[in-house]
Amino acid sequence: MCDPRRMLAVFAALMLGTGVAAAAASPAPVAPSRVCSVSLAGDELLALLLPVGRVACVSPWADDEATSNVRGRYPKDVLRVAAHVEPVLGRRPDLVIAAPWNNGEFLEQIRRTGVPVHVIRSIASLDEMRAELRDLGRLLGVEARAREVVARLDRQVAALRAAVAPVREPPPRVLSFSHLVVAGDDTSVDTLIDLAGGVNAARELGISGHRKAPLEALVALDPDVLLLGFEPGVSVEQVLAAYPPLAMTRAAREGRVVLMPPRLLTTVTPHLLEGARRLAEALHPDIAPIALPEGP
Amino acid sequence: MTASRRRRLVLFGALAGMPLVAALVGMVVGGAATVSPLDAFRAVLGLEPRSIAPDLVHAIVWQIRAPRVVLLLLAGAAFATSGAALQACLENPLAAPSLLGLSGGASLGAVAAYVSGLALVQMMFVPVLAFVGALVALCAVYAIAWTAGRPTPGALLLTGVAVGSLSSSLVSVMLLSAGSHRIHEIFAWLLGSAEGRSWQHVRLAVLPVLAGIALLLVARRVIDALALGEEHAIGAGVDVLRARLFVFGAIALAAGGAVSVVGPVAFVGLMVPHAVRGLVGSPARLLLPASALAGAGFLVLCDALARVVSRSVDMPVGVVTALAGVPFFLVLLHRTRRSTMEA
Repeated sequence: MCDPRRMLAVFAALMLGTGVAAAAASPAPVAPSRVCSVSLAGDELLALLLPVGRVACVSPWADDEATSNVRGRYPKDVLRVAAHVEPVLGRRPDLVIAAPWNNGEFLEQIRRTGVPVHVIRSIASLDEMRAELRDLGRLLGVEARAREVVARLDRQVAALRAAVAPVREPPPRVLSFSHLVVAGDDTSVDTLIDLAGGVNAARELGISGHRKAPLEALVALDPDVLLLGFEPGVSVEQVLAAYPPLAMTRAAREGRVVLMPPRLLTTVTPHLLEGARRLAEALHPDIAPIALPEGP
Repeated sequence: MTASRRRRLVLFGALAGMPLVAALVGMVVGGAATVSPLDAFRAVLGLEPRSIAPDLVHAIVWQIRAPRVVLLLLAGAAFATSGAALQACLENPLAAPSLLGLSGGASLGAVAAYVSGLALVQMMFVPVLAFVGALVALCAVYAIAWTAGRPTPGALLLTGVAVGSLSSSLVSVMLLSAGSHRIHEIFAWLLGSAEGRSWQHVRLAVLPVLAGIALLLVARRVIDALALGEEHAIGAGVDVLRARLFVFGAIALAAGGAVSVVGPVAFVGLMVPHAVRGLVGSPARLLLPASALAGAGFLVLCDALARVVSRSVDMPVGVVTALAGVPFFLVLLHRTRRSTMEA
């Protein structure tokens, strides 16, 4: 007769051995090699972190002249797909990068097919930008590259802050305006204005996020500087003619209007620093031209 | 003077005062919180405001609010008069200019101007293309109804609905291709709003709108004849086809001119004539001018209400008229059905 205790010990040893063997045999997590982005934010973040060969598809906005900072970055064989299930799955992705504003049903359908989906966090501040870069770096298996990008971002922020620090005048009140929409608190534009040494005048109206505000209220606000986000090829005169109330502000009458392409205002990636640099030079014409550190 | 004539005079006096009161309210209340109604009132009277920069208050009252109020007066008058004429002309109490594809065509033209970037080359492309779109849509409705035989009221309304749907579909296609940064602006126009309109818009709209309303007043007898039915109109010696074409042309000018500058503001053309008919009766010589006065005042008051209710957002006036119009439409539908069953 077998001793039950002995049998139990043998069984436990077998189970333990099987577990250890299984653990030893399981492959290490494989970094995604066919990543699909379905938003411009994702297209720009992937361009910073991944070699093009690992990107299976990007959004059609990647080629948009007005809003994209990665125009020309992706070759034609990287397919442009809108956020629709079949074209995305047709690229056989092993990871889909989406934005918070992508359709929830679309994302759920993708998840149901077993393809993992990463939704980029809502990014308005530099801390949120850094956190997203680190998270994506881990997810994509490129932690070192993400650290480099964050380090460069920090150097650029430091350079910009140092450049505007000597300015003694009170920070100018800057109002951003793009096709009737103003950017208030908790937006990347708010961060951009702060980096450039200004204060966001839209905060005085209690605006948070991107909102359509009454033109009359903007005139009454009477900002020191107008920051216009309009497509390339459009002049300040055209914008002021299209929105006559804006021309009544002191900023417009005294010529303190900065025109910037939407790609530098709406981006949630380190390209924002280039917008901040341009705005800083426009707000403080007495400071020396600012050179943002490049390289790894 | 008979009692009924005296009563009518009082009524018209009150109606004529409505746009004036509405205009004053529209210039004084709402809008930017920093301009108090008292300061705005002083600016209207040409006096120096007391609390903040006088230049700023004058600019807000005379360059922002005044053209907005004038445009809404014109648009309200145009929509209401066109609605009254159309209800008579098509023998349908639920008819309104938007049912003839006018709003759809205008929306198509305006959205094309925004999406193509023409709006930024010259902002006036938006109302100009909207006006062209409204005229093309109305012509298409009449032409299609004509090819299907005689353009009867039913055929005209059905064709109007079809052309309106086609326009809406094309607008949707264009919206899909529009950059996200333009969407707010396009939606503000599609909801019907006079925000940001300037004296340039007033100069553009004033002629077609006033000409259209004047032509409708000229055609008042024909409109009365058509309201009694085709047979009666023919019996009275009216060339029905030509008469309808004339009225449609006048509506195209008035409502097309209005929709091109303030967008498709819903329900004014339906509600106001019905409310006014209850006061002055059905004769076009009374109904049309009374509708014009009431429509003008109504739209400005709706806009003032929108500005007071939502200071920080500037709710489009079309949202307010739609909120008021839907219950009105349902009541009207119920009454129409009941009277049909009783008959």
